[in-house]
Amino acid sequence: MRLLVLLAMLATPVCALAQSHSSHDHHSHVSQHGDLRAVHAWTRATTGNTALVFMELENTGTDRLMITGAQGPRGAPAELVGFTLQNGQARLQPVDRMPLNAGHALRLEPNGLALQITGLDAALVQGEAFDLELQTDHGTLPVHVEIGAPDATGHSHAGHSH
Amino acid sequence: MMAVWNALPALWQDIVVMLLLLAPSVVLGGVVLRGFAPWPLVRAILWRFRGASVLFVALIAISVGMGIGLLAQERGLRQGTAQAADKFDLVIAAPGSEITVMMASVFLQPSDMALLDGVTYNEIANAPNVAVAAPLAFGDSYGAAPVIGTTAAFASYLAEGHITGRMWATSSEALAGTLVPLDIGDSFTPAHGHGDGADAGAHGGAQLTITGRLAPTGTPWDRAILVPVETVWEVHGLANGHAPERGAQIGPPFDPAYFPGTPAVVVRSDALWANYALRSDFTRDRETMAFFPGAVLAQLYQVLGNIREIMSLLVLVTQMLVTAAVLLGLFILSRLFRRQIALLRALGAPARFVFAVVWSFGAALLLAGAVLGLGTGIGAASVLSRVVSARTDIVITAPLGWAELHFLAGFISVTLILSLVPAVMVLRQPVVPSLRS
Repeated sequence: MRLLVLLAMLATPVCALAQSHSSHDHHSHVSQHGDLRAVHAWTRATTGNTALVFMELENTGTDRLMITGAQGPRGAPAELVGFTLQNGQARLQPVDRMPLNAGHALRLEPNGLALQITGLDAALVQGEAFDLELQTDHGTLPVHVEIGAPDATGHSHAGHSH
Repeated sequence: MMAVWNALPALWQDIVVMLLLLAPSVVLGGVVLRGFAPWPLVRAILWRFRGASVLFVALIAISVGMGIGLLAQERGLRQGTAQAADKFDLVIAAPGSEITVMMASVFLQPSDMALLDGVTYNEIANAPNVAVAAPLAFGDSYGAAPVIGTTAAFASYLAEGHITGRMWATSSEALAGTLVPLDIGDSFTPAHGHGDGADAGAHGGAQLTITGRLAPTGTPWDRAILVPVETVWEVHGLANGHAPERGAQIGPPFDPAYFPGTPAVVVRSDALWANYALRSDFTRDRETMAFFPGAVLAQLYQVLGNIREIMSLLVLVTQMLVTAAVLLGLFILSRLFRRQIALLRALGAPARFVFAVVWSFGAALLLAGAVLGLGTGIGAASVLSRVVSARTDIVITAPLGWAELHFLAGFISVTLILSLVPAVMVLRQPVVPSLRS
């Protein structure tokens, strides 16, 4: 019996810690402003001055949203870019604005649409994170961006639903 | 420092890397040869042992050439397949494997696929910013040429408007790809299916006439015969996409009630953002799947990138082994002229001069092999490109790139450093026994 009580006492803080961690994860992986929701924002570690940021966007409202750009860490400019193959060569082309219809989702992902930050003045270090402001015609959404490995292909929690 | 490097254009970065890779050779050459002119003696040794020298140079050239040829070919194959997907901005199909649909639509390797209905097709075709929405219909062939049903707008877009002859006007007319062995005015009956299992008599009533020839695209579509999508439906005994009172109409709009279905719709938009918007709109659970063939290929290339790294490593190891064998050969060769070397030293030639002579002899063989290897590599890549192009109908060109030049520069530097070893070993040989030998 004493053993059971001891185990229960030991288990309680572990559960609380796990719950707190899960809640923390949820908040750091999800950003919401009005009807626009951003999940699992991530980028790759780099020592260069540019970086591509990826995330899943969802318009949970009834109006169409227009994504117009972003601002990276410490005011570094960022713009939407789209991946294209031209004459067999991979290129990133600027995309001025991107509509997101009501009830639809949009994936910013490698070899697809992405936010390109230019003019980074410090290295992006794996395991760290930064905040980015996603600009839309309905306001600005602060997004917490996780920095993955230099060769990462997805967010560390990709596949988890929030 | 990193900021300066990142600010450099890609071409300058490549040039700087090349110079850095060659720098050890230049520094080494400068240090070893400083104050000496060993070339007359080296030329004499090369001439004296010309048979062995030619053999060593050929060995190095073949080794370097095969390595460079393989690396260039891998890049050419990647670019060729990517170029084949250039005209396929966005493909919409029933949910399933993106690779299966890409193989069918871009590379004309169709397999069984679910069909999209007329309502979905019309929704795609009428979406804002859609310039071309071409349904595809596979399944028939004529000889080695697949017969593909589509729209006139897509055929024209594929050939960038360059069509010799004229576009089809009825469902009994067709356009030939540039490699199809049919001339304008020729008639043919499509067989049901492909290859040995094709049923030549299944569409016996259909007699199609070639009215035009498409300009080369460098893709498997060059070997295809394009027909109105209505033709494919009609020869299979299906409705032709139009109500009976409009039965002679060719091309969109299609009547959803008479639309038999299409396995894939190739979509071209006016703007890049519109492609992404369409992809977002037509990515629907259990309804439609929208994807960019270019992105699927890029993902494949990323996986293949690891294979390229392994391949590069294998090539490098092979070349190092050949070089080690050549250096061992050089050492054995130096035993042949050790008497001459010993005589030089007995006459008072400085040890460093003798060292410079032996190192220069090895360096001359290695440099000659590397330069010839470059030419061999270009030739090997060209031959491999022709073979692969003939088998896949994808135009593949494999010109030398910076990666191959960097590879060669690294090879030269490493091997010139390694060739110090036989030079040191020759110097360590005692003079008197060598003179008596």
